[in-house]
Amino acid sequence: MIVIDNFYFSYKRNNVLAAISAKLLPGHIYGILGKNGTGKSTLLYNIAGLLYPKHGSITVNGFAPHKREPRFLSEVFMVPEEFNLPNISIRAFLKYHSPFYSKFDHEAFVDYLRLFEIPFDSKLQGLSYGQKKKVFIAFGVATNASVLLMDEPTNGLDIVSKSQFRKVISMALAPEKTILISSHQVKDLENLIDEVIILNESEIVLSENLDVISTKLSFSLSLDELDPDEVIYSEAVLRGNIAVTRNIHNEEGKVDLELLYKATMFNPTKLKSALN
Amino acid sequence: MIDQVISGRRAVSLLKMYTFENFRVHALLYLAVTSFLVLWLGVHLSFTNSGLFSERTQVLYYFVTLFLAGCLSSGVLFSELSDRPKAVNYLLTPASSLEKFLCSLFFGVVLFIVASSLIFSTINSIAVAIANYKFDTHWQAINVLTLNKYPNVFFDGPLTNMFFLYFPIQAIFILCSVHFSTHALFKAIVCIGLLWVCFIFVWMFSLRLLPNGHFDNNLESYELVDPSGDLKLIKMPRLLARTILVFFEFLLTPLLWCVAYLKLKEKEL
Repeated sequence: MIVIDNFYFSYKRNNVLAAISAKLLPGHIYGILGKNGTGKSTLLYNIAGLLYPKHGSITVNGFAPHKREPRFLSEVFMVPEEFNLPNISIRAFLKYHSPFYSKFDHEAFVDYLRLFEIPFDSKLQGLSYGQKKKVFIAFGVATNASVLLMDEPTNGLDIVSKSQFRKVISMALAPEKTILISSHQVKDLENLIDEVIILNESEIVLSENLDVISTKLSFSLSLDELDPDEVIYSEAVLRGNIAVTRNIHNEEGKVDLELLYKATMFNPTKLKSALN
Repeated sequence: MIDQVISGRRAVSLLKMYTFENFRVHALLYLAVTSFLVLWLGVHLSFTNSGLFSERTQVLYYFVTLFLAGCLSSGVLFSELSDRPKAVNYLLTPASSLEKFLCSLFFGVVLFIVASSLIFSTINSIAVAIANYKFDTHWQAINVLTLNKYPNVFFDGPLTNMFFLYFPIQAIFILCSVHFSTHALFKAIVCIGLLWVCFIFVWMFSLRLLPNGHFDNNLESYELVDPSGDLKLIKMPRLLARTILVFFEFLLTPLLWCVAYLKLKEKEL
């Protein structure tokens, strides 16, 4: 479990995150959404212990991340947006890196590589950026670390790879694991996450379970004029209007993350009142 | 809790990983040391001065190579930390900061001095043999394990005292490579330069403050001429003199290593 308590972070005088509090539970995949520069990566780096809070605290499974104790590090794996892999073979990478992770699953790693269509005997220097990223993701998932942090993991992946990625992550989820995925490409997280955290202007503007959202909000395409009181956000498309409205009929539907994100950005007050 | 600071199994895994992933870098470093020595001694062999291979000059070659290669390579010992993606991997490798630091120290300090001394001994022996053949001289190649047999070309005292200078300077380079996020090597050279300037400044300033006279016996005593014309000797208490000497000889380097370790432990991206 990750507990963030009144957390502040700034780069010199530039406040990036302020008064952030959240409790992230195991067994969930959290999607962190936000514009560029809103602090998504900074939050992940703080959880990983690569940056230190300026105020407040973060605990990960009872560990203070900034101490970077080996037991903590073997329980947390981070796939950063820009990553580095040594110029060695996948086999050698596995041989020298896996001993640090006591729960590492070699068979799962090979399975994930197969799913990503990466030959196990490849050399890392011969792979493209996207392929390397897939190797790193496969390794990270196979560590069975209880906290998996992914910063823009779909950047550099093609359309097929993105669906492979979704499959791998959904296979990896277990009751004891907390998975955090940050992205500004909202569509990439659809059908993958079950909790959404939206960051804007240094703070969390929305943190909610997608099932809860689907019972309280309705995402639909409408050909008719909508009641302005019910509409939280709408935009014109070719065949009418797509809108986020209050779910007054209590019909459970699919959450459109992109619309939810836009509604949070453009009408946060109305959205919050609809969710409460 | 101690296994969170140091664990044999984890340290071995870290050493294996470091060796495998940095093999090429270290091989290139030793190749560069070899090339430097071959070039330098080769050029000297082409000269007509047979004295260029005396024991005195061989000692000079050894320490110049050691200082140059040792300090420059130490300035990039923690170069991973200046590259964000590499720094993320390095800092998140599940080993303690102490294990990571000791691993780098083993390769950058212990293995380096052994390997560079071996390389020097090999190339120097060949160069001296060629010089003896060419100039019809009878120079002996120096043995780096018995350095005190040879004359000290740098200052009074045994030649091994040079290591009391080498290790602290190398430790400063290591500290700079951990502390500075960018251009650590260049900044380390600037730091050493500034320290030298400060030392000269303090030395000259203290000489101005002191009455007319001069230091004697490794700064332990000061001989001055008082206005009546008598010679007077001011001696530093023996314990204080020994303490200062022990500090600079044996404690300064570990102290600098400790600071570098703490910097690594507190390192942020």
